[in-house]
Amino acid sequence: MNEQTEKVIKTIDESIEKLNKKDFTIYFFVIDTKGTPNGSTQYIYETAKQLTELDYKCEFLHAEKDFVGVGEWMGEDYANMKHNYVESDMVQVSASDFLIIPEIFANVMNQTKKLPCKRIVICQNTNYISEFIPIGNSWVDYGLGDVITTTKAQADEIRSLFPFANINVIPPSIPNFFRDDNAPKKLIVSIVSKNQSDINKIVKQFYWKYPQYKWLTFTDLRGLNREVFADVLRESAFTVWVDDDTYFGYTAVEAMKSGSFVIGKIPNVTPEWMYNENQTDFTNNGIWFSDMRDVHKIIAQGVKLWMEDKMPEVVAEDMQKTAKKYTKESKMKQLKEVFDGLTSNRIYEMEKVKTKIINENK
Amino acid sequence: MENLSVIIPIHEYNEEIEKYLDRAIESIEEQVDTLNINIVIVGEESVLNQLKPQKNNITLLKNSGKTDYCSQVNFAVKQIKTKYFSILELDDFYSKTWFKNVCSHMEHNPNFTAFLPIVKLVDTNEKELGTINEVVWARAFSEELGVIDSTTLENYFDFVTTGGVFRVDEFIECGMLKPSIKLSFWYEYLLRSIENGTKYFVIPKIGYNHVMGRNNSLMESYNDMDGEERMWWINLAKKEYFFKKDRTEKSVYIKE
Repeated sequence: MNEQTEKVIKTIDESIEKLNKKDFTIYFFVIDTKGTPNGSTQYIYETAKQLTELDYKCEFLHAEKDFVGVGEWMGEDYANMKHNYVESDMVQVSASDFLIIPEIFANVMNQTKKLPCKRIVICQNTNYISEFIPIGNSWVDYGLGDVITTTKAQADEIRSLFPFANINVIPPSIPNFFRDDNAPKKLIVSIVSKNQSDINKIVKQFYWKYPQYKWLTFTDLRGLNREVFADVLRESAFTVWVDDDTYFGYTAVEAMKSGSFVIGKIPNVTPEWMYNENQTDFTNNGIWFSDMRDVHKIIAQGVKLWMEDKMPEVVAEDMQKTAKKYTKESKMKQLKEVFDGLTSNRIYEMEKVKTKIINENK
Repeated sequence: MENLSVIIPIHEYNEEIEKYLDRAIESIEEQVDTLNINIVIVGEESVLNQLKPQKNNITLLKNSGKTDYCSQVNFAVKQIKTKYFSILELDDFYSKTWFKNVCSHMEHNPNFTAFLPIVKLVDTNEKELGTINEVVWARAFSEELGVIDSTTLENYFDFVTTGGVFRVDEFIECGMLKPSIKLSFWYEYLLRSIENGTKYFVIPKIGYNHVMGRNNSLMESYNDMDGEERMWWINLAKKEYFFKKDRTEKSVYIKE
């Protein structure tokens, strides 16, 4: 065995030792939300923070010189985690490290394919997979086969596109500051939609159609930091939720956990928590509609029932059942399983390479 | 809620009133999760003597003094021994969950000392005609959602207080209702009690059902008033609320 080969073997052994001792870094590539709350980014930051609680070391990478970050809406705990600007900060990525790349960054997938670390795609919205990837290319061309996603439906969809992918489903957790304190709710209808036009359609048309409810207060929750957002949900009797493109629907589950009745437009891909255990029928964890023209009538009927204490009890019960599926504890358990597994696989891959090199040099 | 008396003022008795009164009392007995509410029917002895035998939890309070609405209420409040009271007009009725909601709000909003319901207005067949008191839940109207304060009362005079839960000590300390004032006596009391520190919260639930259009009801007796006279009583309330005591035997509106 020549000196060069011995050096490679030594490097592999060092990497294996680091992996065994959890002495490596998981890098998360993140987009700059510029202070605007975003469910996907929230998931990544939550995941990184939860991994640090599991004794993994996590850092963030970004490509924005004037990076704003998530401090305003997620808080300093998240903003103060280590961030690296890839253009100037010295980031030494080694073979024992992991790099997690969101599905939208096809360019990063390509640019990082020669890095020695293990790279994993984190896919939270399959709509974005084909957004920036050149025609004819696939994740396999970038050396990517491991994927983390948030729902089974997305896992199935990814599998249909990339049959080679090794997919881990880690559903999100809803933080504990989303909670129902059992205090009486206020008669406030919170609205969460990305589009101002949706909010206009809901509020203005509601007052036109139901002038008897012209006193009803609607609150637009866009742009609030997460804890204030949680506070408003907690005191709102209803949360109207419109997000056609979502795969998970954080707001709806957050509202359920806060005890706020959800009046929601069914997204293009129905989130799995809308279905019963057998995935055959809707549960009663919200009041669902598919045509925006129906929302005003549903709000009016809902408010009337609520004011008369006649909301069916099953709705509140099913809301709590749904919320209990997405606890931090259950996510931490899954995270541990997945990342312990990814680490073991990485060790196995390295052992295999080492064995191959040794055999070739015999 | 065990520390509450429901006061039902009564001025006359006949078959129609018997029917209404039964419905009113039934609405107290139907309350969810609420025990031991004292029911106090107050009126002249001759009227009370006509009532059919009542159940044990009902007290008949004979009033030998003035029997106008305000005097009846004041008399009854001074007699009761509970911490809280609520006025139920004999032709109205509570919603089943009203006192449960009051208890919950008392526990979670201890800063407030009086709680009003959103009142559903119904006709004599209990058909819904509208609601009242909900206006404080409009963001443009109230500085703090659900709260009645002096600013709120500057522009809005029509809060319905029947069904609301008040503290006996606050009510007496504040000077109670003023019998000399017609129409706007509750409005005057609201202004005066807020000035004296009562904190009002409108629970955003239908807690009380107010029957409109019954012959000989108190509100019906005001139907003859024109807008000018109504405003005169409102303006009188705005002047009188600075005084704890009822300053005149009887205020009289003279059309100019």
